[in-house]
Amino acid sequence: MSVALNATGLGKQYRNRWALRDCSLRVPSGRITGLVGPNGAGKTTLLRMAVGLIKPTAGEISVFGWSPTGQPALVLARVGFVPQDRPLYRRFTVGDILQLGRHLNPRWDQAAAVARLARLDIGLNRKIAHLSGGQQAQVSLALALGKRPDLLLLDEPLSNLDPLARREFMRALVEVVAAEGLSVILSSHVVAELERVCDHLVILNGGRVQVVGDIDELVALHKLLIGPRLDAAVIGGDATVVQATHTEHQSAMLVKVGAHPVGADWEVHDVSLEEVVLAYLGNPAAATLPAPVMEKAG
Amino acid sequence: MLHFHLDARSGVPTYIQLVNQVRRATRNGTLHAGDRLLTAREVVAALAINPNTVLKAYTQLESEGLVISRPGLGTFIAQGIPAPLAPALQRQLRRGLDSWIRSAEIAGLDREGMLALINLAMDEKDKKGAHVA
Amino acid sequence: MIWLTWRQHRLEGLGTAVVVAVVVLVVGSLVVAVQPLLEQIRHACSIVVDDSCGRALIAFQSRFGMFQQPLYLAFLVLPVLPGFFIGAPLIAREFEQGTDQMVWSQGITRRRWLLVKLAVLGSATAVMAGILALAGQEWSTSVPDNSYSQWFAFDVQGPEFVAYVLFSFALGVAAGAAIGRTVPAMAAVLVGFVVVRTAIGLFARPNFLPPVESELSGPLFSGQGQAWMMGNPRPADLHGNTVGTDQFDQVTNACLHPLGGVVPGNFDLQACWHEHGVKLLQTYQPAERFPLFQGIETAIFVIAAIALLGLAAWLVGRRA
Repeated sequence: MSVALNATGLGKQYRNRWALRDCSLRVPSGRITGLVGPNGAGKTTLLRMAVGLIKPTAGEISVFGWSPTGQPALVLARVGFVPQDRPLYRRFTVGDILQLGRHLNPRWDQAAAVARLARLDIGLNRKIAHLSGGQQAQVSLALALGKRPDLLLLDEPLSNLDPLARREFMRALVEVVAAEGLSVILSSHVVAELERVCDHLVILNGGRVQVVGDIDELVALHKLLIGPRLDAAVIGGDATVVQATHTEHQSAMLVKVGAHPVGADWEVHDVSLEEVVLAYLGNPAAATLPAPVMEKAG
Repeated sequence: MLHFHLDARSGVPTYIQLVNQVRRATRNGTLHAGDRLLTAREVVAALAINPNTVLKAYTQLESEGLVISRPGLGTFIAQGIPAPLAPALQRQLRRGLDSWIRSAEIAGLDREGMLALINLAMDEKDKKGAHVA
Repeated sequence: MIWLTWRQHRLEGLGTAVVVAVVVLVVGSLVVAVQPLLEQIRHACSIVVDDSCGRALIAFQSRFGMFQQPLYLAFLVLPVLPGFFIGAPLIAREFEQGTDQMVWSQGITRRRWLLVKLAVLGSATAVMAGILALAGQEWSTSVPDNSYSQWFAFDVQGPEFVAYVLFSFALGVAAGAAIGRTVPAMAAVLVGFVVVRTAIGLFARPNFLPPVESELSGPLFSGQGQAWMMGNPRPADLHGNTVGTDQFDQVTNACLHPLGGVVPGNFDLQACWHEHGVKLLQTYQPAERFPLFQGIETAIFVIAAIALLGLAAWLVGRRA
């Protein structure tokens, strides 16, 4: 597996608060990885450190083997970033934004950027302030893609977009991934948004990494067990409990299954990705390390 | 040319839905041997889904022998796909089906109920199939 | 990056150019208009025979007096504007709108971004300031000597004027980097500029070098050239000890109205004072020190500007 982003013990401290703490993860290249977690979990901090806008307080991060703060020229040439709220200079025209990209990046594909925006019917003469939210998002995306990056980072790219604009943005994103094969990491706190488009997942909770893994495998490896009211110890097998809820007569456990089957008393139900994510977010102590099975080529 | 659609709420993994749609299309004659499937890029553009998902579906179809991929040319329905059901086989299946319908009616199911039960069974079978893949 | 700087700030640049053009136009018209009367004054006041000098000065005041104060105020205020409109938003607006995240993730380091912006905008501002300083100088020399000495025009001309502008610009940039919001940064520029300019101008400048105290030989206004008079003259005895004003006035009276007669035309009042054992001392900065004082004030504001820009660069780096 080739690695797009590698973090070891990464941390960022602000005054008396750690925005990110002891974060270790490897994001594979050639995939669309979703970064999910509640507000304040450290998603923005992680993405900004990956592009070199923030220096780590602890630990290390590397992108394709380079340090974003140590070798900024190398990293910025290969990494595109769409920041939170997709900021642009509002008095600029669309064409001006592309010029900005052309002047500030050593490598720039003006023709492809122009073609992309033309396909979306976004005229180069239009002022950014006069575009709709969805169109501005497309311009931000075109700017980030203009340098033909190998890794694209997007911080909550769908926030404040209407459903149609969201679909169109995602469509534009996956089209370019299909055509160029670039790696993508996008953050959101809405799981449903990510499910359609991501095939890899990182769960950040309270500044720490809770889960890293392939989405299909995560969904397959987690089950909901329902049975009479009992404690976790009596599940049987070697499943790990992520979340347990008990009513007067019933227990429901969302577990990560192990190699051995669980006890026959339990009803086994499949779970959706959203349920898996919610279970982990609700139980910060639970964590899953990347299992060997997830390392095989996707 | 087969156009795919996605039921995001069904709980069935996306690539399984694509596989099923191709299978169904060959069964009911929408697709014939030699027909070209949409390229991965075309499917991605149409559905706004992950490209790896499409590749996974096409790989599964190829491993089942349903399609053949020719680099540079596309993915095509393989020759020798299951022909429409032979009459004798169809009669046999119908006998089993008719007796099941009678049991279901006695149990109190109406048409909708029976179809729902069939869909549930098919979905569960598909999800189990996802683990093997 | 130079393209980006131009594109982002072209509106402010055009605005500045317009303001400078207007000022140059106004000053130019004024300078041209006053020339005839100025000639008259120079001629009439070089030989003080009758009151034609006084009349010419009054004529000047009545025709052109109304322009002087507003123009002076304008020149005092103008240096604030670059700090207000160009310096304060430079970094603050990027932080406010989040565009720093966008522009610093293109292939440019924030150090280079800041360097080019400061170099381009700083030099353009300095050039505009230079033009204004020249206009100020032209204006100040078009005012009759007796109304203003060069020292009154200290704040509206010369390299120090350019230094004020650069200081204002740097103050805006640093305030914007420290506060991160445009409007509070603008307020900080206003307050900071007024405070520093006032402090330096009122308290530091008179003491750049210790003032001289001596008798002013000859007529009290000319002769010492354009010295910077500080405070009122001090009556003293011949050893320099202060003498009562009443006593001194008595002596002056006795000198100007001697018993039994009128004073001659070339009467030497100063010699008469000396005969009576008194003299008049004046604290002042000599005319020759004017360029040196300009240099000191320029240096103060330029060093302050450089320090502020350094602070801004450090703050921008620390944001990471």
